[in-house]
Amino acid sequence: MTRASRALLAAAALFATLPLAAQQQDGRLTGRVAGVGAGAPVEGASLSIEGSALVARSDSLGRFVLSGVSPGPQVLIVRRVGYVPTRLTFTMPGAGALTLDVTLAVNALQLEQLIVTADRSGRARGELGTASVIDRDAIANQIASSLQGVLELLPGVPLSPPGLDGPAQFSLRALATSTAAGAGAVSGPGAADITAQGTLIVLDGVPLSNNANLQTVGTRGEVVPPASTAGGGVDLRRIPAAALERVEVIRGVPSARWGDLTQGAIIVDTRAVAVAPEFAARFDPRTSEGNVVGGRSLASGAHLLTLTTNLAQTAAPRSLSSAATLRGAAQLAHRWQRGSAPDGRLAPDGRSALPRLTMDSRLDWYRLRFDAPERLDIEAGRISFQDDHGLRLSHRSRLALDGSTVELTLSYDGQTQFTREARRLTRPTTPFTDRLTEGRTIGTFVEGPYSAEYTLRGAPRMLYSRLEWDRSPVAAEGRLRVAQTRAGIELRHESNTGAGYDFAIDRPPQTGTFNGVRGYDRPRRFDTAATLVTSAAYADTRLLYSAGGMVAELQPGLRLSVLHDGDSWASGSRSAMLEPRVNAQVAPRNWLRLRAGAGSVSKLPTIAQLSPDRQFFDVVNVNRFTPDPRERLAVVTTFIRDPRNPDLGLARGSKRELGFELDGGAKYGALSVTWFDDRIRGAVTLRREASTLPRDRYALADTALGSGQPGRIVEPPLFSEPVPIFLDRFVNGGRLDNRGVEVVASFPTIPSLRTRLEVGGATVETLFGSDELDLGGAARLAEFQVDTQIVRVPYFASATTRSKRTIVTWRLVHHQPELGLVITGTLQQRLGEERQTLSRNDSLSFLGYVTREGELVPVPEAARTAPEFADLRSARGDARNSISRVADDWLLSLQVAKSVLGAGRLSFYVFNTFDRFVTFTAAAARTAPSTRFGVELTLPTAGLWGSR
Amino acid sequence: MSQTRPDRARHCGLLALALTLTACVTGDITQVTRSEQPVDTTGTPGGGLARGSITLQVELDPIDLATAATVGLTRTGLTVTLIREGTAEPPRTAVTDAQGVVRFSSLLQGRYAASITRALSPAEQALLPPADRDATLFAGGVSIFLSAGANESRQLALVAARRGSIIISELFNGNAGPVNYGLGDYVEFYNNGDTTVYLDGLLFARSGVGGYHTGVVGSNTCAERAHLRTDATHFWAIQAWTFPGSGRDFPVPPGQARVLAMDALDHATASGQPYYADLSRAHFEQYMSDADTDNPVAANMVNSYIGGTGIFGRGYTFNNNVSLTLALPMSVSTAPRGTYPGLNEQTAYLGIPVDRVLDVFSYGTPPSFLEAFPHLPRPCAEWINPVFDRGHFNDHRTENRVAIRRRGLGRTPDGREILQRTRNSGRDIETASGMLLRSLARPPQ
Repeated sequence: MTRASRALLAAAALFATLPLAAQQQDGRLTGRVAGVGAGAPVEGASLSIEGSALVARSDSLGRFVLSGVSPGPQVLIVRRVGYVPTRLTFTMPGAGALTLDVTLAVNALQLEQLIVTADRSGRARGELGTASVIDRDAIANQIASSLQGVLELLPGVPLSPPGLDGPAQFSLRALATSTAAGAGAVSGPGAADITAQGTLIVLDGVPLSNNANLQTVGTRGEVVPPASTAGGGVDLRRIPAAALERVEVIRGVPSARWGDLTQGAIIVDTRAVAVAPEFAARFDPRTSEGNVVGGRSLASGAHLLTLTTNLAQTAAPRSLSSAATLRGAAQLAHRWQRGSAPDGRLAPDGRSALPRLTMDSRLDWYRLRFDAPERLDIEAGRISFQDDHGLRLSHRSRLALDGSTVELTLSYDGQTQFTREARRLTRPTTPFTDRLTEGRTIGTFVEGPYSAEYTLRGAPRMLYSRLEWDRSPVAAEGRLRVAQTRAGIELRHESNTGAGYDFAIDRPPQTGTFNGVRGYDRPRRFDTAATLVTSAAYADTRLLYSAGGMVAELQPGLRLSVLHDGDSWASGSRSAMLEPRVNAQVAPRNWLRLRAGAGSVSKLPTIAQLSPDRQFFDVVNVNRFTPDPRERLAVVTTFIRDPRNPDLGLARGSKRELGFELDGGAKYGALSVTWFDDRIRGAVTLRREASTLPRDRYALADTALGSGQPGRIVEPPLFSEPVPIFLDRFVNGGRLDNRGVEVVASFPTIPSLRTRLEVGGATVETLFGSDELDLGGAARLAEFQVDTQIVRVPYFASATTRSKRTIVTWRLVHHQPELGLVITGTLQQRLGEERQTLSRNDSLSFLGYVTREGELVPVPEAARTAPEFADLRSARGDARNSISRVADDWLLSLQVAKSVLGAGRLSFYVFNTFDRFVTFTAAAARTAPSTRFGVELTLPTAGLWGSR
Repeated sequence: MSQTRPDRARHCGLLALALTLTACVTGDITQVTRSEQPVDTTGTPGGGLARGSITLQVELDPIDLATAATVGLTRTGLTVTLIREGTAEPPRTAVTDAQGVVRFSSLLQGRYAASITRALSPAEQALLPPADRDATLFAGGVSIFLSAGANESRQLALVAARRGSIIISELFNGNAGPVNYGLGDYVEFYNNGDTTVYLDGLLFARSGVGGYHTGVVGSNTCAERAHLRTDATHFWAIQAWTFPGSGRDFPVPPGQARVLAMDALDHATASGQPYYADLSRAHFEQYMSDADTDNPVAANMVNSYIGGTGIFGRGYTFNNNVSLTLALPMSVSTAPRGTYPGLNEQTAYLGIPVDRVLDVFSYGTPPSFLEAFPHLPRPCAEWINPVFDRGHFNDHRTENRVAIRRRGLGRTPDGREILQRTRNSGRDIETASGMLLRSLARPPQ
């Protein structure tokens, strides 16, 4: 917060130094809208400036005038039913007018100004932080099955073929490793660890949340799902690429409007416009996908109805499994508009007055089904099945007042998640109890193979509401003006009402973890888990100063995020954070833009972290296993420990970024560079706590072999010995630092070749560590637990892992508008990939030791060489300071798109053309998906729906 | 701690002397490689197949010269058998000349195993002094890879095989496999001598795996541990168990065997797989922790030098690529510890002096298997010093889940089986056709 405050002051100071005497010179943009080919004027096209409220409409000669356009790089958006929407980037001079003629086409591929990559000059609405905007044209040109594939257009994101393989979690500006983080051990951060730290996904104004996802049994046992996003980020497979209208990715510091994030926000708008119906299908050897999209305006424009449906299937390689992932998705959007704004503002379509009341209702359904049936030739008895579906109902009412707007958003998101896993296990002969309460039991012995099967039935629910007041004056004048002021409150309620984790107690989904102390799992209901109740209030403003050719903008804001300690918003605060944020931007020349941002952010813990399952300890007192089953005797004492942490609260992050943009247009190219430094403190991580349990030892009586009777224990116990136990508790003890540089450059277009080159890349370094102690790996602690000869084990400071990677993506786009042909070659380089564990691992690195009574006894460094600590002076095997590097590599993908049948499109693509599959470097390896060929066809089906 | 009968002690003393002497000898490590299957595709530029030759010089092991002289055995007139491995070609034989040389010619490229087995007749054995009468045969072997058209020369050392007394006779180490069960391992000990032996207090030890002692390069190089692995004065063990008992609790009469189980229970039932043995009547078991079951029928081994509790606290498997040893009672606490740079103090090796070693049993993965998995660690070239064992059995495939055992040499007039012990595991061990046929599965007599 201190850093953010400093940044805020610095930005304000920067603002104050601007020449106040300069004259305000808002520009006037004029031009003509014409159709491609003959150049007939297009009447009734709406023209708007992205990121502003300016709108205009073309007249019968296609002419238009837009007044008050801010100087600097801008994006003009032109829409007309029957034509594809057009985006045009231009630079508004500081003084005077600019004339810009616009060409509209039926097919986006015929547009001269087609943008098929993320638009570096795009503006996220209401945001000043660094953003990438991916508009419909780029989405349509990107071969993607879901939002995940669309996000590959961002700098530094690895490419993958389209499909539904595995959970699609996305994290901005952070590097995941292949192993997840655990308590004590040197590992992680895995994809879930990174995404759990918070990239916010907002779908049509409502956040998507994965906080109530409990579909995992963690790493306990041998039967775990092949993949689950529980504990991590939202599975982006639920959002088909076909449903997307626009994606704004706020890579920098988001405005105070957005919470529950530490790494930026992805704002997704689905298609809710009048769009001529189209059908699209894609096939490659493993994935088939079909979409139907259509939108129609009804009752003279008062109602607008848009329907998007998607069906997709990805099959796993047959040699590995018979698994298939099936997705169905549908979005129904309805808009109803009534009246006109009291201040006479125009609507964003530029054709009519802004309605007094706009009501948007959306129904969003998805189903994601993963089915891996048994394959006898691979593993008998192994079955994996997941079936998740969800229905989200959201409603947004926007009321135009005099000079401002009030917006109310309400949403209910109900999901049903089902997981069934089965595997044949063989358990060693072991004493066993199915006891569900604490106490001593005469147990049984279990052994032999069995089918271990469990189900997880989760039902995450989220209620969400936002009330926001927004004043964005259009015609304000003066050198310094307030461009926008917002204030709002947000309420969220998340829970999971699922039946939970269920299995036959005597056939648990784990065998090997039992060691005479740690118990097997017991079934658990989810609906007894905690609810996650949060509220937030925020306010921000956007100030604009212009003088001469210079424009400066400042967006300071403040957000209060509260995690409540009860089931309702009336309950007290469990954890709260005040989050100041500021972004500033100065354009001293119309080809130069400087940007800086800083702010505090916070991320909620998940329900799984707030309500972890109870841990059972089954301490074996007697295990006499005679050849005659009738003579056997097992005595087991069950203990239950609760790992909940009442102090668990928000993870806190601070974000800083600094960047510049040079924009010389198509003639000189453009360059955008951004440095970022994100530091998350108090990230939710596991603390391994040591304690002890008593193991009573008994004398046995009547144990003669051949008696046919089990012996019996003689009370009282002969003696009791301590057994150390370890309980993993979620705490705010993690650290995650991400820093790096993002570069996006557009080289000047070569007109004769009709080709341009764009390059986007990012170098990211991620440091992941914990403030908790490292008591040692699970195997060593298990030994300590059962081996009474080990009287103590050393503990250490936690290690930090450092990962580094550079990804550079070169996109060569050859475009022939008159042919409607776009050829895209994408070369991605992966450079400097390395991973290092930073820790002290000499024989004196131990900080102290854990006794069998579960006590932590520190040993001062000076005393560690003493003879009595010889047993503790062992090298720390799992925390070597070595760097593992993977050799640099690249892969190339090609895509050819051609306009067909008017608005239709036929694409052919080859992913990883040269099948660069695996890179080995010493002990490290990197695999890339192998070559995939595919074809995609989009057909206009106007006759089925009507053209308006 | 242990009481041994005088005759056994004498055997062992002589054996130890013999082993010590052998340490001074530098000869070929004899081994038999069975698994490579070279394909005969050799051709010469002029057409046809290039043929080569193998010349063998048979030498008597210096420590056995006196024994050989007593029975009148020289290096002349011995029958050498040559087998081209991996083929169905009939074995070739030839007889050594006056210099002990034999030559095989017109040989195609491939791996060849040359061996001599010269059994001593009862009359010849009778010529030996009583303490040396457990020498039952002279044997030797060598493995040679012959390139196309090459002429190879090798020495073939001939050593006297001695029966010893209590020896390691069978082992089962089956990997976890599809049922994820790896707990059915056992080792069998056989009394190959003529008098009852007591197991009480004997030490059973295991050299390392993963590049520790005998075997495989892991993160450490072979050179790093060579001073331990090839030491002639000590067998360096990473684990050692002591047989329980106070002296005369666990006798093994001649011709009988005892079984040490990882877990003494019926593993066919526990695993659901018929290829695991019923060890519920095993004589000894590892008992490591309360994660284990305790069978009162099987005596629990004393964990003398373990450093852990094994797989899920249930004891250790008898992993591949190691050597096992059986040693006379000794003080573990005062025995030397072996280290190398960077070794964790906790995992130092236990030094078992060569004069305490009764028997060594070495076994490992087939070279062909390793060739198929190039990412796996490779065994070190020097496996163990020849003073302990002159060659390891390298056809132990854990995935086959079959036992390996010491070959039978013959039977005494009263029907007792005598097992082959030429101090060369490569030739003394074979893949077993059944399990525990000399002990738990032995038909009643």
